Amino acid sequence: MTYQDPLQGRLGKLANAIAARVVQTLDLPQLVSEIDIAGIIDQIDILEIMDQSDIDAILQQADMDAVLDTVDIDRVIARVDANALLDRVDANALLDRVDVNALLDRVEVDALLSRVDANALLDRVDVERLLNRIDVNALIARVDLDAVLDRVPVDELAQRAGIPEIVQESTSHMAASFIDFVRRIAVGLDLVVYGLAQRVLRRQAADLPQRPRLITAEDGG
Amino acid sequence: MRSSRQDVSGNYAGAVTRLLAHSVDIAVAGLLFVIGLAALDYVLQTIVGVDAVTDNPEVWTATAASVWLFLYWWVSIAVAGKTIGKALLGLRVVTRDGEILSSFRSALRAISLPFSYLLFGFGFLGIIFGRERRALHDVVAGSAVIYDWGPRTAELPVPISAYLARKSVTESDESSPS
Repeated sequence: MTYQDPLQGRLGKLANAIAARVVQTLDLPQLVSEIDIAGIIDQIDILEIMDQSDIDAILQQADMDAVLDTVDIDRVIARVDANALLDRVDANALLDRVDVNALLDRVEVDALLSRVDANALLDRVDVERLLNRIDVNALIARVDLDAVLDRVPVDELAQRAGIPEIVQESTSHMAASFIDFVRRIAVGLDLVVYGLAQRVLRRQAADLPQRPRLITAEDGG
Repeated sequence: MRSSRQDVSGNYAGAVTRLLAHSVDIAVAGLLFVIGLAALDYVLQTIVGVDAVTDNPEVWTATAASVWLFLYWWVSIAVAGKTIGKALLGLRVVTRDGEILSSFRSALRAISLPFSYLLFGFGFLGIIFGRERRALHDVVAGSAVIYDWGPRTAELPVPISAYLARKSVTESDESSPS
């Protein structure tokens, strides 16, 4: 059982009746128009309200998906001035924060390269200009020639180039030339000695046989 | 310049070339004999276990050397028509007519070769003064020695070739009626 003040019951009814009468007589639109809403808003300390509000709790209760579903993203993006936005971006600072290696690890290079038309790409390259920009001496200075040569199959290359055969042929030719040189000197001395002997014997060398009967110059050579 | 050299392929070989070839043969045959003797001595002592020293080592050595030298000259001439020295100097042994020397004539030539040394090398004088430049052992075996440089042409040096060419022109001018 609850206690009810008899005065309050009557006064309440009276107040309600008065209020209903007042409401009926009031011109609410006119009343609202006379309210200085801007002044009221100015008196509101939004920051204090924000401080007193548990934003996280509010956001947790909010159905963000439903909110986003009602947002026309295309229209929003269409209203964004992308160039102005990019102008405000510090690209270098952004790139400093990018882990390029991790990014490249996620790139499937084969698939990327398969989509590249290498011929078209090379057609667009000004090779002369590119070469002019290359410091060949500096490039060569960075090359570890010993390591490069270690990877080169020199013996195999020499075999394929026929260098052993060339060396062998050259050596054989030199040896043959030297032997022929000695032989020519000996043959010349033979002729000198033979000429002197025939002169002592008072014989004409031209009358003597030069070679065996069945030997021709072709047979001998 | 090569064409200006006179071709002497197949001509009788002269004294200097044959002397050089003979010297090479003596050196090669002697070296091979010493190596062979050392190898034989090693085999007899180490493997067989026999002492090769005898009462008359000089006689055995001289006999072995004679046999070896005979084999060296005989086999090489009979098989190839030339010894190592003759091959090096570009010489070939043929019959007097220019045919291949038989095995028998090669053996006869090898046996008679030492006799050319008798009387201070009298047997070799035929190479200098003979019409066919044959030594005593060539006469005995019916052989002759000619220039044979194999696939290449036996040639005289350029100065001697030029001298012979000038001499030939002069003689033909003198013999022709003016």
